Amino acid sequence: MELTNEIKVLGRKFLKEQEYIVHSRVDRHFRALLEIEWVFGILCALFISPLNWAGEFSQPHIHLWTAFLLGGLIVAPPIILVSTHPGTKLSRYTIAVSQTLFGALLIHLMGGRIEAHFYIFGSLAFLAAYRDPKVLFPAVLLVALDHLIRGVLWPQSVYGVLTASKWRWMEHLGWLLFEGIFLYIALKKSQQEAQSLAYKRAEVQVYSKNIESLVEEKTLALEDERAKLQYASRMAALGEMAGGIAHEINNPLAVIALNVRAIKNAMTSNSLKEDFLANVVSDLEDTTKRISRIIQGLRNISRDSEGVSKTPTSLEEIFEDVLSLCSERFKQNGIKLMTNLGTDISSTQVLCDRVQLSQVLLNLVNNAFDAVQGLTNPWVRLQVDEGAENVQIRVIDSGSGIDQSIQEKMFTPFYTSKEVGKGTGLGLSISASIMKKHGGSLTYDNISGNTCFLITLPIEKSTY
Amino acid sequence: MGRSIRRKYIIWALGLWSLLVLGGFVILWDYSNNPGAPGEAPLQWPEISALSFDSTSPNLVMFAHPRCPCTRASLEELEKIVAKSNQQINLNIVFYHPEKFPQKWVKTSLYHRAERILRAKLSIDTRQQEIHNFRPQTSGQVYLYSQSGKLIYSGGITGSRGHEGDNVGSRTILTWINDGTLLQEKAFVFGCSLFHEGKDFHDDFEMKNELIAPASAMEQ
Repeated sequence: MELTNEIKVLGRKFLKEQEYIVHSRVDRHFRALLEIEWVFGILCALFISPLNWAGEFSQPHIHLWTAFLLGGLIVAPPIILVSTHPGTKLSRYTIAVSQTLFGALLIHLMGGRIEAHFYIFGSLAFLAAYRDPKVLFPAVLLVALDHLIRGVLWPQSVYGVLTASKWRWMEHLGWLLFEGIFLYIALKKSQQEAQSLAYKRAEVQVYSKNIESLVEEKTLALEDERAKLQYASRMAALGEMAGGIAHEINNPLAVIALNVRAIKNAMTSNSLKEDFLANVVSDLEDTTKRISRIIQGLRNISRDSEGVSKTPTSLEEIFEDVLSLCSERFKQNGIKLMTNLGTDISSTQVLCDRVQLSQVLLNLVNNAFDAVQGLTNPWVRLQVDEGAENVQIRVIDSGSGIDQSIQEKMFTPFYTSKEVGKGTGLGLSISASIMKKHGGSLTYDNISGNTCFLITLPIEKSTY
Repeated sequence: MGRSIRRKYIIWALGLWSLLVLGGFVILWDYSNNPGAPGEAPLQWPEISALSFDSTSPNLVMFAHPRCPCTRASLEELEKIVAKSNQQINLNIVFYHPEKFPQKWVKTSLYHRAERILRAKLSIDTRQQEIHNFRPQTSGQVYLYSQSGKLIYSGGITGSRGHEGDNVGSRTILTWINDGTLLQEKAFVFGCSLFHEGKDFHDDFEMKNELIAPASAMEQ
């Protein structure tokens, strides 16, 4: 798969982060190792070569001084650099140089034991922990320099005095190069693998980011669709009641028309008396107020709203909105609409979106209306029970409950038990989601003997 | 402080550090590669010596200071010579012992190391009788005498102070014992001085300046 620029940039960033973690960690390990080496070197000098003798006289051995001073000098810069510049090339290369130098010093301090020379090879292996092939260069270069300098100043120490040993130092360096080249190839391969892993990680992250933004985009679209459906569902509920609403307004209009005709007749017959006029005007005033309430309820419930806008609202206002729209419809169809509001609900406030809560209640009342139509002695009752923390609103109808099979599905979107063209199948699912957003719930109440839906809402505390 | 200035300081500091470390190593190398005074071995096995002489095998004598840290490497090399030689060697190791110290002064880990060398005859030279007979100057001094008592080789068997590994002395001894070929008669000895003679410690080291040339150079 072709790597995009974004993946390459992110991959390089991941690689650098990973390298920094490894380099800083190995830096810390080497700091501890160098500190231990210094102490070990001093102990070696103390136990192996504490004194230099001349006959029966002695004085402190030069190894004691070199272990303490030269050893300290060798380990000091890397210890400082690991604290001030952790994970940098500077600290890494200084450590490589110091580790090799200390290896050379240890050979002296351990009494020139052949086995001590293995420490140089061991050091190269330790340096490989950096997973940086270049870090091997200073170490190998230093060993070569050591042999070169000693070859010039003290040829017998490197070459021996025999001409046969002239290329002895090349053999030493050859072994070191052998290990160095082997480690270099292994580290180069490991570096390539680390790079490949970093690019793969970047690839996954970029794709996952793209998927996330796609999901977000789709979620927004779904939210939008859901809001539209919610509005459509509300409009559908209102549409179902259109006939009832027309009656709600028509009846008071008829009252107005009758009263106006009565005034006109009285005026024509010059029998317009003051107390008659006062009565008629008062009647007209009440009737127009009633129309105004119906219009207000209709406006409240049909208003389009974006998201949930919660404000402390009295339950009385919610019930007014709903009842103003449907009471006439119930009356016309011979269905008894009862309210059992318990305490004075004007003082009961809930934190809610007035439009949405009215929609839920209206939806439940409409469902109850549809369910009891055709039953003998149909009725619908709205019941409010106020608790310490919550208020429970029950919409109960004279039906004998809902089948278990329907109960399981009725909160699923687009499920309806109504005849085709009468319900959208969205009312209950949307109502349930609205209640959830309000921190409450909408459930079917199994306990009640009749059909009962239960709304639970937290009471707005500020009302206490 | 700017980044480039800080960088400059770090480079200077590392440069100074490199010089100091190099200086330290030069001192150490100089010490390690400075040989001790050469012994003035008698050309014939001294008859007054109490050390055992074997007229049927090569006779090897090493003089050791029991507390010289550099001599451990000489003993390691001596053991290798014994192991690699194709004929039995009459090996004597003489430990220096000043009279004013008790015997246990000699019984160091170095002495016990010498005890483990196969067929080595250890002797403690309390009155410096053997040292007087063979006149070694430095711990680690080795003499090789032939079956007839003739001095074949005089020198050390390490390449530097306390440094094990391939060296001209060991090779000379082994080549003569195994092939009868003499590579060189003398070589440097690396180790502590066996004498003080009331001089300053450093005065003893002045003696080493008398450089020993390889046999080929001497012949010229």
